[in-house]
Amino acid sequence: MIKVKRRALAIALCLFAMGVSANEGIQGAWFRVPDGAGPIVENAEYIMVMRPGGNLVEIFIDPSNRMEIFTESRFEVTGKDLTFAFPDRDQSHHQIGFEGEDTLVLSSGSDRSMEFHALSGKSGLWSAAVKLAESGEVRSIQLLNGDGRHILGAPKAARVYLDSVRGSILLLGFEGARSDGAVTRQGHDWVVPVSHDVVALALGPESFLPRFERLVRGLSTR
Amino acid sequence: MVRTLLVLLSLAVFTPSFPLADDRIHGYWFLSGRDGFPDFARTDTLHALHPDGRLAILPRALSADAESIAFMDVEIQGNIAVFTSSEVLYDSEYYYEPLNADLIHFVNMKGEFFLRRMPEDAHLHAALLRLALTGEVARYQPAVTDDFFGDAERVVVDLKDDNGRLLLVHMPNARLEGAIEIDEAPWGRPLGPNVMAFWLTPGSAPAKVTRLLSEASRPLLPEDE
Repeated sequence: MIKVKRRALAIALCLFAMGVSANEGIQGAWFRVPDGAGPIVENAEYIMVMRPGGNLVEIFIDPSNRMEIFTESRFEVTGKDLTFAFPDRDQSHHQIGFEGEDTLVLSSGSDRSMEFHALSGKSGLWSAAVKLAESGEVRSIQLLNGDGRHILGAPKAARVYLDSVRGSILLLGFEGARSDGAVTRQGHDWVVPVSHDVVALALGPESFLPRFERLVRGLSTR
Repeated sequence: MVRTLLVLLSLAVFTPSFPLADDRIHGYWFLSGRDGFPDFARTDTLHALHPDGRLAILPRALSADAESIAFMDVEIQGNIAVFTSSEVLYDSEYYYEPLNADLIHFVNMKGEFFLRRMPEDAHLHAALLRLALTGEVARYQPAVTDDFFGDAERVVVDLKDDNGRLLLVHMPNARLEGAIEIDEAPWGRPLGPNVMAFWLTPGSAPAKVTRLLSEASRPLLPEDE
C-alpha cells in the first residue's frame, strides 16, 4: 500500500518537474483565516509556502496555537491553472486570481473560492517560524503567549520542535524593537537575532548547537 | 628633575586607595567554623569582599528578600576590619587573621566567626553575590516559570524600586561569550562563563541594567580574569 503511494508520488514529482515557475507571483507564504476573522496572520488556521522548486510547505494551526508542518506536497502552475499534489490525497486543481498583490484567490469549478493573504516579511515571529518550517526539519511549532505572559521578556514567543528530540528552538519576538549582538556557547551560536526584532535561542545539549547554528544561519540567507 | 617630581607627585595623588588593602581577604567566602563545619552545602551565609571595600552578605539558599541581604563597606586598619553600613546604625570591628589561604578568623569582645573560601564551581552564588555588590538587589527566588533550560538551576532576581527583574540560568560546563541588546540596552548577557542573565523587563531602567550587568559580569578578583 505504502509502495503504491510512493510510486504515485514519484510519478507526480516527474510530472511537476516542468513548468513550475510559470507564475512567480504566487511564490511565497500565504495564509488563510476562518470565515469572518480579520485577515491578520494571528488569526491564521493554515499557511502554505510555495517555494521556487515546486515544493509546498503546509502549516496547519489548531485552536491551541500548535502548528503542524507538512513538506511532502507539491504544486505546479501552468498559466492560470494551479495543481496541488498531495502524498495522501487526490490532486486538486484551481484557477489562480489575485485581488491586489496581497490577496490570492483560488477557485475550482463549482466550489466556492478560497482566499489567501500574503505573509509579509515584516511579520516578525511568524516570518521566522515559517522560514524555519521551510527547512523541512521542523515537526511542529507551539506559539506560547496565548495568556499574554511575556517569555524571557519577549511579548511574542514560539517553541520550534525539530524532527529529533535532541533539541528545540525558542523564537522570541520583540515586536518592532531592534536586536543586536549574539551569545555563543562552546563557540557555537546559542542566542542570536534571526531578524531585526526576533531572537532565536537553542534549547538543548551542547551536541545540538551545530545543528541550531546551521538552521538559524539559513534563515537570513534563505 | 622638577618634571619627574611632578609626575611622581601626581601619581601619588591619583593612585586609588583601596580600603580593603589586604588582598588575602578579597573574594567569595561562606560562614563556617575552624574545623571546616558547616561546609558549603550546609552554611547559611555567603560573603563577597570586593577589593574596593564593598561587602555583600547573602543567605546561601537561593531565595532571599531585602531583610536578609546585607550590603556594607569594610575598611582595614592594621589587623582590624571595620564594617560600616548605611542601612544598619552601628559599626562593628573585628580583629582578623587569615589562618591559611582559605580560612579567616574574625574575633572581638562579643564573639568570633570564621569565613571559608567558597568552592570555585559555585558560579550561580558568585554571580548573585556580584549582583548584590551593586547594592541594587531587592530579593531573589528560584524561578518557577520559563522552564526552557532542562534541569539548569534558575533564579529570578528583583531589583530595588521595582526597576525590573532578571533571570539567572546556571549551565554547568558551558562556555558562554557575547551579549545581546534589545533597543541598545542589554537583554541577554553571561555573568561569568556559565551563568546567563536575561533581563525580563526590556525597556525598563536601561541605564541601570546596563551598569548592573556590566559590573556583575566583571570578575571580582583580577586573577579570575
